[in-house]
Amino acid sequence: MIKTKESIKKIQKNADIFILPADKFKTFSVTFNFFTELTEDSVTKNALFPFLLKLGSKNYPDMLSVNKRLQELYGGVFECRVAKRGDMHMLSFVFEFLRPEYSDGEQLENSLAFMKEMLTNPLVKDGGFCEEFVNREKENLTDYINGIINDKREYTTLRLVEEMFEGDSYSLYEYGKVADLANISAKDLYDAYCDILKTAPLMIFISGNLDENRFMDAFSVLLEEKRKSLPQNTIYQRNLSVPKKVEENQDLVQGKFALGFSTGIAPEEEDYYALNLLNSVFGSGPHSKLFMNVREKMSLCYYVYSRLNRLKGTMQVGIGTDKENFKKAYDAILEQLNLCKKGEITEEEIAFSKKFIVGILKQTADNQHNIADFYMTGILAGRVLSPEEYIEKIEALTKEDLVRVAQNITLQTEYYLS
Amino acid sequence: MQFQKHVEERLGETLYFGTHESGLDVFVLPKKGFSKKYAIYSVKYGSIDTSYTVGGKLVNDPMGIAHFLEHKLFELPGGGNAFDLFSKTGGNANAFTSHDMTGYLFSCSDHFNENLDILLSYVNDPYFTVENVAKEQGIIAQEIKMYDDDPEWRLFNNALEALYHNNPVRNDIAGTVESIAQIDKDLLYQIYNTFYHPENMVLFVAGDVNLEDVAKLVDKNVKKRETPFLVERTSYSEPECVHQKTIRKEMSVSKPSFILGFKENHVGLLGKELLKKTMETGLILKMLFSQSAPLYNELYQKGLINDTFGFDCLNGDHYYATLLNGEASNIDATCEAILKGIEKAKQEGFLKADVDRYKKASLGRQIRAYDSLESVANNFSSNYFYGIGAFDFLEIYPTITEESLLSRMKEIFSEHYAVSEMHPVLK
Repeated sequence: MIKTKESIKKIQKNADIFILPADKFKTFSVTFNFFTELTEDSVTKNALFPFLLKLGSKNYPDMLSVNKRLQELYGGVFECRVAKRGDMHMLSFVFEFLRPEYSDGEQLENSLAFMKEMLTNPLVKDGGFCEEFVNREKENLTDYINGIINDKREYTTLRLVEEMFEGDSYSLYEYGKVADLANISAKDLYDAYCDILKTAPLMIFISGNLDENRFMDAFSVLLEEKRKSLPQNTIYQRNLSVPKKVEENQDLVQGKFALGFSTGIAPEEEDYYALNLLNSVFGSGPHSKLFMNVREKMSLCYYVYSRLNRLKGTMQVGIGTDKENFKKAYDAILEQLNLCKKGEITEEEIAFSKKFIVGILKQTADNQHNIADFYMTGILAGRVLSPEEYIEKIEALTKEDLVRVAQNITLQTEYYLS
Repeated sequence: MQFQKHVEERLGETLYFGTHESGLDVFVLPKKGFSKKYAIYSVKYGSIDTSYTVGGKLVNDPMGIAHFLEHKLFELPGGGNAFDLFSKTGGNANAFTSHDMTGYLFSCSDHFNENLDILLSYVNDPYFTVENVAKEQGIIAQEIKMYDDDPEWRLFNNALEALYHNNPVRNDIAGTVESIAQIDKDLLYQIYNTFYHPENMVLFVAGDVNLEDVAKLVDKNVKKRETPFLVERTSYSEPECVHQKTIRKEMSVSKPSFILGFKENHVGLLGKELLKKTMETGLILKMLFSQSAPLYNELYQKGLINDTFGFDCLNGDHYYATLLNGEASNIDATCEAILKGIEKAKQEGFLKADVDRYKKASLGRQIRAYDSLESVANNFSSNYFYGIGAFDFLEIYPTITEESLLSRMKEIFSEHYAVSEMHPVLK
């Protein structure tokens, strides 16, 4: 049973519905997250759904009519996307509409009908998605996947993950592989979508004063289905004594590299909170050791950071610097991590890092999508805390906690792009 | 400092406004229920302000100096930087430089007064040394190189370079590794004293804060200058035509991409006149090139554009450009189809029902923006420097008609256009 504060209400149907308070907003939003296991067979298929579903439904049979309807609903927002969450592939539908006070009395009813239409009434031809749409969107997905190389910073991060998790499904890119597209038929896709609608675990986040009974009536078709439980998630398991090293050349002006570390801490463990704080001391925020030393003191880079992947139990460092400074920067980064391990962490660094994290947590509820994402991460991690409870955990940490979690951080993969 | 109250019932918002004795305008938008507080302290001084007359003397500064100054203002007398102070009070600070302004900002949930005190004091107390300037040259050189590898940014700058002969908007905001090497501490003090004048700045606060505390902190940190703000920005002689019809570059990218940019020569509008022009531009771009537009759908269905397609409008005192961008296998074919579509729209004009629907949706999006403190505050600040008030947009909507849009469309899409192209490197 999930422990939740009064501020968030959970309704357990065959899907989990979470209602978040949101009187201060001018809009209300609804997010539907479907989870499937991240597998080689399904990843590319799932990645096509966001491209296809935005194109139309039975009653709004093309992109023009979908978007015209959104305009009539006072510039409503409808987005569909896929993302990796640990070993899960998440298909999300995000909607946001102006509240009736700023639009009209029909707004709730009309928005509910629109959401239901887009999710549950797709455009079907001969028992499959429309062939013509599927073919064109395969082209668009191809462009999207190939486009990874355009953003060098993002490309470096993705390549590191790919190398670090080589052989595991987590190495898959969330938008799949171009090579898989040829063998996907319009009928396969439609069957896979129906299967997700009917059986995939579903979490719904509602923010704003939407009448829950009206909502459940409208979506009874989704709420009555029996659903599978969430797929298993495991953290990074390898323990390489010599890190794997990969180098790639693209004739860049500035080199970039990324380092992947294992932390050995599972997402539900109590030590995760200490890891969260340690990460901020080490490399998250302008007070961090990496920023203060590698950027400000050594003048080696414009950006350098570390970040955690809670569900996979890893930490990643990213930096952009001249190729001839790679070694110098690498040494400086590991030196800062060693200082953490040796306990050379000042009380000031801890205090700054606590304020930094607490500040972010306190503002979580000021954005409807952030608060939904915050609770969802807690659920997937197997440990649901409110922002207030999370803050208590962070405030209670001491230097010893940080040094303890730092000990187990080990470098596993290095990826260099120049 | 006395605040005046402006209640805007259609938006359910109240805005407080006061002018400090120094000449600084201060705005406060209370947002009850939000734990976040946000403040942005801006100056009308950006990358384009490299040539101006002050005290009868013409000055020419190196490219990238506004951005350099933005980095350096964080430096505190006696060492250390403003980030250290914000770390103590839990403020999340940042700054940005655009073509026409520089903004210093923070968000926080607690200790708002302490954070605002830090913001106002560090921006009002420059500290430049030979050493800290040299250190920043290394950091900014890395920032410039990072952008050198960013195909989107290169494409964008190349488009402005193609459109403009002389206007400094054609130069990269951060300058070049060579131009920033010319910057020294004396030059930084000189431009700081010239442009960072309270009359050339604005403070905008959003969040559940105390008005009197804001006024007191402004009193404490912002001093009246002995002389009024008197800078005459150089107006460049800019030919009507574009500088280059095409700029074609190669990088390691997946697919060719382009910007089709249109240059306007009727510039220099202010206030509601400018706001109307810009709102009309936005509506026209949506009516032609958003997913709800028939032309967009036609181009998309023919595979001439993909999901990356978008548009932008860039304007300042002496420039106004409208940019369409996207990926295309055959850039010539795509641009030709776009230009044809525009010509057809010019002949057919718009229908009232469509205009009304687009206006309704745009207004909805503007109301929605009030859910984000940052977006309201940043948008307000950049408008402020052109004499546009926070709620002026509500008055403009009724004045926009299918006729006004048609004539505006003819202004935007003239023969003064250029194409910036980025192609994959041939292996």
